[in-house]
Amino acid sequence: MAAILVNLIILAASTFTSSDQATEERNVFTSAQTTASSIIFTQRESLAYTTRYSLWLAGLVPKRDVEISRATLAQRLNVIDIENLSMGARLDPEFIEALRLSDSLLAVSPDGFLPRAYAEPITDQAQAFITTILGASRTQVVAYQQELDSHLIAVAEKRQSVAFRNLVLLISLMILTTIFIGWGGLRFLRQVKKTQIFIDKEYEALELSRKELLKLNVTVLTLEELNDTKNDFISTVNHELRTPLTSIIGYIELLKSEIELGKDPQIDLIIDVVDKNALVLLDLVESILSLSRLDSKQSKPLDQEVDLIRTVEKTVFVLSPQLILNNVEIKLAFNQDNDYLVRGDSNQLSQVFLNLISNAVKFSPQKSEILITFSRVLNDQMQNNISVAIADKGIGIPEKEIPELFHRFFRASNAINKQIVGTGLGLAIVAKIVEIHKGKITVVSQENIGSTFRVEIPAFISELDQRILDKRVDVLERAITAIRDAEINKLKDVYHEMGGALGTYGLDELGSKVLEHSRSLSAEGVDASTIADQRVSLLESLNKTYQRLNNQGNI
Amino acid sequence: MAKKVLGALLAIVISTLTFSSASSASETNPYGGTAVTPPNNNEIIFTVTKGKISKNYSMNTLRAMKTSTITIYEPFVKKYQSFTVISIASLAKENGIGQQSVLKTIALNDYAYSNTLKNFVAAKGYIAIARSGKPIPYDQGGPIRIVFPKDSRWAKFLDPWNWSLSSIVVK
Repeated sequence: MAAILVNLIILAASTFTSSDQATEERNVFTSAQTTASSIIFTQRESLAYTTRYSLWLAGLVPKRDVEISRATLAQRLNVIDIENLSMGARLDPEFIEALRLSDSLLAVSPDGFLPRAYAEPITDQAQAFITTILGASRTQVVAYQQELDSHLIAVAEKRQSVAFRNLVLLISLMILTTIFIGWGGLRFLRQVKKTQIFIDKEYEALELSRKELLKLNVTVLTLEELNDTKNDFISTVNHELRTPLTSIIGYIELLKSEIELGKDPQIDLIIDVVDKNALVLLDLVESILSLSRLDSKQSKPLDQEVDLIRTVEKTVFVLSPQLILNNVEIKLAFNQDNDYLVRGDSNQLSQVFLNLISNAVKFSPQKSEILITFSRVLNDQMQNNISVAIADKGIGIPEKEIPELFHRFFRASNAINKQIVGTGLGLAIVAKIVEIHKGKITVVSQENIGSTFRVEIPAFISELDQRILDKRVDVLERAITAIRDAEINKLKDVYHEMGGALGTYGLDELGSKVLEHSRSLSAEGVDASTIADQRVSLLESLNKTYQRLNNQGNI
Repeated sequence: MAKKVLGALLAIVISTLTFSSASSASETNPYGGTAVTPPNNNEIIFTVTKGKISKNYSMNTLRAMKTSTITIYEPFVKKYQSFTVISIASLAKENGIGQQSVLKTIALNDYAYSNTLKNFVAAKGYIAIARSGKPIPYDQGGPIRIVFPKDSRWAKFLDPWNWSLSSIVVK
């Protein structure tokens, strides 16, 4: 690149020199043209003068004609050229001398036509200087021509030299440029090759990733199969365990009825221990079996309309012997005007409340009360949930253990310390069932004060109601556009229409708010700026809800 | 004020120099021969021919025409010289010559140059009849010759500068 630049600079300098050369040549030619013109004119005037002179000698023209011709020649000789030289100064001194001789003869001659007698004596002398004048003027032309030729040859040689130099520079520039282009091309090809290698490597890496992904998919499938196999195994094992356990428990009951209890305290204790442990073992087996079923893909909850009040009441009834035994009372609190229906599997939901209420009973002190409260609440998706809160006044749960409460086989430390029997699977089963039902479970507890477990399950919605809910976002969007674009004089009607529509599509609160704005516009004295502010505020609320519904994918 | 004084002094210097140049120009031609008697005042020295009509001019008839004095740079002797001139435009008007007509100017030595009147007028061409108020000698282009002022487009184009003008033929 540097070489090319240097070459270019030299070429530019050379071209500049060539330009100077051209200017010099132009000056030479201009000078030559002017001088040549003067020389030619001088020769012409010399010829004219000598011709007139000869004619005068022959008595054919008057002396004045010769004088005028001589004056014209003098004028020509007095011309200063661009080299600041007069033409006279360029001529051979012989020419000037001959001219003076002609002048001297003319001066002494009579005016008018020259008499023959006067002419004869001077003819030879005149012939001599006429020959000299013509010869000198011719010699001047030839000499100048030769001088010009040599000058032109020198110029041509110089031009040839410059042209050759420029040609060499041009050729070297072409060679360097070709080398540079070739080098650039090679670099480009090398770069292309490198890029190709990089792409190939990336492709290979991608291919490897793809294969690994496929392997991972296979692994996932295998693991899922293994999990299913594990679940099947657990189900089978538990079933096989439950059968003899049931038999053992049955025989214990038979034994208890056949043996006279109270006769031998040691036998009574043995039977009691066997009985209790058999029951615990049965409970454990049942729990594992339940979890195994819940984990299984094949196990899908039934899609039933379940009344949670009845479910809880049945559970309480089942647990009544335990309630009597522990001297615990259960109270249900709900609004008679509401229904507490959910969509789900009644057996699984029964399991949820059985576990939660039996826990509450188990950990409640004697003569205490368990309050079960039913309510309808709005969830994050602006849909109704049925909430069931079970509050006991039991031993509570240490605060730091609450996050682990729903983990499998986890048991609160205070329960273990108090040797309260349990498997650590009850709450895990509850959490799993609630998750399957798209609900949620929360717990608030304080050690030695009590615990409240709150289960929320989406309320039962008819297909028609579901379709209405599905339309909510569209209606909300329409309401936002209509309210934003409405002219002030039509705003009241738009508010009225959209408020009703929002209420119809389950957005009661927003609908009421919009209708309230419609009513406020009926009042007198509401100025335009207040109306505009209210509209902006209302649109903010509507947009907020719209964003929330959209973000939660509830379109 | 100082500028005005300086300007005036400069003008005096320039005019003095111009005068001296003009005076020196009136010197004799070093290559001249015997002195040629200037033409008689009534001698026909110049003819304008248009078609079959010729109009003759003597020094007297030329001096009677509207003249002016201009100082020009004489390119053949390379000096400033002052000439009494008649504009070619007024001469053409007097002879009823149209702008597109071609003027062929012819010298005593038969040198000739042709161009349109329009171009002669555009080049501000003049016929000089005196130099520094005196007749122009024959050996210095006299008695009459064509000249162009310094701002003319032909000031440096020497072909139209016809010396010792003897006639103009209109075509």
